[in-house]
Amino acid sequence: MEKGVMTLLKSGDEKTLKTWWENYSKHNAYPVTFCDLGIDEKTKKWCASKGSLLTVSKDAKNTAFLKVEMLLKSPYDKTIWTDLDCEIRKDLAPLYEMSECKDGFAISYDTKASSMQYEGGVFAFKKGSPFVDKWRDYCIKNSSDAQAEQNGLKHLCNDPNLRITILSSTFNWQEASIRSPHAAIYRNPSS
Amino acid sequence: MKKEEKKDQAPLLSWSEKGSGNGVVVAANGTQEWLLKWWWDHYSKKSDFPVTFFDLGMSKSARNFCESKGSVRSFTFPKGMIKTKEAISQKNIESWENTYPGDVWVGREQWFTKPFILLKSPYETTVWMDLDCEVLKPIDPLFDYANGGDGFSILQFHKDNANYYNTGVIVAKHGSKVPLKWAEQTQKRNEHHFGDETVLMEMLEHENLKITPHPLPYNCPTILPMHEDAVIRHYIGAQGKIQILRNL
Repeated sequence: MEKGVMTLLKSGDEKTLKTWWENYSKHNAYPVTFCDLGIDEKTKKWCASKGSLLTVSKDAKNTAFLKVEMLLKSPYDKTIWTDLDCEIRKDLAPLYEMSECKDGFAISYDTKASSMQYEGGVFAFKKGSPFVDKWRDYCIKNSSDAQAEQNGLKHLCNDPNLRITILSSTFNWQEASIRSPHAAIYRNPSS
Repeated sequence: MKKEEKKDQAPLLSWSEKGSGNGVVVAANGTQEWLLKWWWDHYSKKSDFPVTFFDLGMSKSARNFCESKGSVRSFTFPKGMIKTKEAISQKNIESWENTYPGDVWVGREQWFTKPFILLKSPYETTVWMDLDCEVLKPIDPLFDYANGGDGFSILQFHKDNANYYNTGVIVAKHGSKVPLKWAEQTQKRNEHHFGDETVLMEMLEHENLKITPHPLPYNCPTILPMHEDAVIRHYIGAQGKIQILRNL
């Protein structure tokens, strides 16, 4: 499949999931793959009725880099990842366009971090992106670090050889107190 | 009453005084001033952000027109800054003259002004538009694309398995390092470059600049099919100008 969206669900995310879907489906019709990290049967059925379900194996559940593992299993040539705390407000088509760069990856900075690093809640990538491979390599090397995924993004931020697209905050609006009416995605970290 | 032009005291290679608000900047010399009315007619139907027109050698009547629509500032390069034909390699002379159907040596004097004009913008966030851009819808969302990264947004697009950039529409935050470096490189290396865009491409290749591209609808070039959500149609090159003329 050419284009699709992925998100990750764990037990307790049911309510957030419904809100995410409501917002997403108002503006988008791309197929969705829900990565199941231990949701109940009822939610599984619901997900299957809306899209496809990718179940994380029990062995993998303890790893610190589930998200990165899921990226490698994406059934799409071009994937948009959004965390469930994203309030999707517009058509996400431009994000696919943004992944059309040398290393096939588009991500924004974490505007709340004290040092420069990428924010892993929203990104787009093409199958085979070296960014994903490097992210995974970092996580494997640092698998004992519970924050390997996040630290991997910090590490990659300093890689001068990667040629990716930096997303403007329009695609990942992290500031809750002032919100642009033009943003495609608001983050709701409290949800 | 004739409007007095505010003199910009800032050196060529630095940002002028901190500006305010969002605004649009365009520029024209005597060759391109015929596009001013066409541009304004489309722009003003869809957007009302203040406009600053940079006078690169317009006629008196064109300048009067601009003064009736917004503010006008003059810009000229210091003599000899943009290298003339005599300083260019024979290989580049042949290549450039074959690439551009008009007078490339007059064209270069204007194309290279882009980063310098951005530095002189009176706005906090500036949208630069080439005059061959037809504004089809309100441009309000465009200003947000310079948020994040180095405060600088241009079009990045993919065609025939290659990535391209286009600077027909630019969004720049006051103080962004990109226009500053772009201007510096233009001053240092313009004899190696056809125009402003190749200077910027070279920089993007060699320096880790964090531009935040805007999507295709905000600069939909006529070399690509019309985008259904197009906000700005960019009539690129000689063919594009012919299309504009046909519709005048």
